[in-house]
Amino acid sequence: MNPLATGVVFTYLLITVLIGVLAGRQGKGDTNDFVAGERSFGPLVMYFVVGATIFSAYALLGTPQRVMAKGSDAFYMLAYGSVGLVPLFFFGARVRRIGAREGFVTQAELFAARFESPLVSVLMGAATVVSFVPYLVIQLKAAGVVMHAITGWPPMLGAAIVYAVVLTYVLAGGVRGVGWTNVIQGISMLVVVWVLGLWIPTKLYGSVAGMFDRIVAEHPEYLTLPGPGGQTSATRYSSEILMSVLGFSMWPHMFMKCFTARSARLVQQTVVFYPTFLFFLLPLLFLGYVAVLEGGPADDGVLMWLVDLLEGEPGHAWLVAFVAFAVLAASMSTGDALLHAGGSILVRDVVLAIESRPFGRGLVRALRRSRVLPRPAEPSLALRQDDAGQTRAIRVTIVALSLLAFVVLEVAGGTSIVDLLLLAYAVPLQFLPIVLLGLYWRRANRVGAQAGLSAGLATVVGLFVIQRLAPTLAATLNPLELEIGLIGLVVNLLAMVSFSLAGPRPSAELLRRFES
Amino acid sequence: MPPERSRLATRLALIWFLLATSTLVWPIYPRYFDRIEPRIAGLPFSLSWILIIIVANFAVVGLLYRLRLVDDLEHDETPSQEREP
Repeated sequence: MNPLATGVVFTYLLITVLIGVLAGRQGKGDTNDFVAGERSFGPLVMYFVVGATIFSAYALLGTPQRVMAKGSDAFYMLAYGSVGLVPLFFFGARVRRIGAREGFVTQAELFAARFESPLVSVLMGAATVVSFVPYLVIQLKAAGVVMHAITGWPPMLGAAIVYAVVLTYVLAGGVRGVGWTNVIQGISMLVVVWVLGLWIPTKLYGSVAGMFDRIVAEHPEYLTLPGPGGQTSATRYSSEILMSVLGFSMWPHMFMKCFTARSARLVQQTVVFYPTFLFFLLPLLFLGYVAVLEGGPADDGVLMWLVDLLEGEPGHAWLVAFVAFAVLAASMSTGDALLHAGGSILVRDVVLAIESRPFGRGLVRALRRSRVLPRPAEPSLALRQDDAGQTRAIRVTIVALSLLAFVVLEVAGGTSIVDLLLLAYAVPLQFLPIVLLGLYWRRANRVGAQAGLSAGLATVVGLFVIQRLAPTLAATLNPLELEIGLIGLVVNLLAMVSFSLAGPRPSAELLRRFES
Repeated sequence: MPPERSRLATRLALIWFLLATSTLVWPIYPRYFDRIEPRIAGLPFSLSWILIIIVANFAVVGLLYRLRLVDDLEHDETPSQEREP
């Protein structure tokens, strides 16, 4: 055990709980407060919520690792980041206004209303949760790895301690807890990564430029495509970027943050300043090149290995402590947003949408009878009208989701999670037609939205299953190895446009609610 | 601000982002920018070019924001609540 690092990490965990819980005390505590923070977030919190949520533990541990494995292919995150959030600049302000006017707090709520279709809401909600689970699992895994490195405890125990803290502040503080803890997590990530990324190359090679001189002399293939061993063709690299650019602003937990901003103009301002956070990838790339020169391990332990290159320097022990702290901060600031959004989405978009059906009604009744949900004063009161019940349901779902993520981590281990991530990244891309056509094309209607979304999701899931079970068949169907999300998107768009044109025009009265 | 100006600005901005992004992917990126020389501040050009685009996009979005060229319905952040109709 490393006593200093353990001390720093536990102090940090304690502070996070305090801040998260105190932040949650500001609001009224109803569903609007729990999910959207009463639409009161200011510039500082918005900046860090967006930045820290996007940069997960995967970026922190995986970026140097990717440089080692594939060379300049790792630049793709900077490349798509340069434009990925820009769509939000164009539609985010409008989404914020519509949300405030109509009382929406999730992405699917807005589009279920625009297309007058509970099916759209259920499909979006369910697909979102499917894509969140593997994403969440890798955050848990990173937390476990780091806790194991500093305490020597089993990774599952370490991850459980860290996520007990996350659950505490998410359950007590709702989105306010998520927001304020992301501020400290974001600041600590930025500081630690820049210090490390400049210090190590300077110590070993005199400067960052000096390090690149050596790379140019010894390993020039790491600086351009197709990278070491010719692994990444330019088309493959481009299709990764394209998929990420198109899907980036569609992730439901990001999209939802439009609703939390204090004003619509602030949503735009957050997009303007986001690139300052993006530069955070640069020191991580430098560290990857250090590992290439020094022959570090090509796994997710490479960051901790790099820190040990400074062994003997004054302050090394503190550095180890703060790197552990930064990785936990990255894991937690993404994990909390996923849990919070996942719980909110499953309840608001799926359970509320099926409440009018016998199955949904039965479910709500059973949960009330078993006292999982509070019994309303009026027994027949719908969950949609029962605010206390909704907030409780969201909390219960958040706990259930984190347990599910732990089970998946335990059962699946490491490798198959990466496979699942391919599916996870393909899902938000299928929301693109609904979001853009729903906001900008008056002719888009209910039949079109339902047909497009179902066709897109079915294509993605179908191709994913074929890839797993019959790789040779998949190679025949998809000879260029295009991202499955992009294929789904094409099918989705075609279906949505053609069915919309064949179906009736939406009423002017409906369109007016979504116009500005 | 007249809505035509906002519409024009939105179109020009979209064209800009399309062009900027196209220089980061196939076929333009591998043809012109995916190389080591010229090195800027020691970084290989394949990396510097991406950073240049990030800074340029930052400037464009910042300008659109300052001049209120996109979505001009909004009032300012903070004390201007009284400008609400």
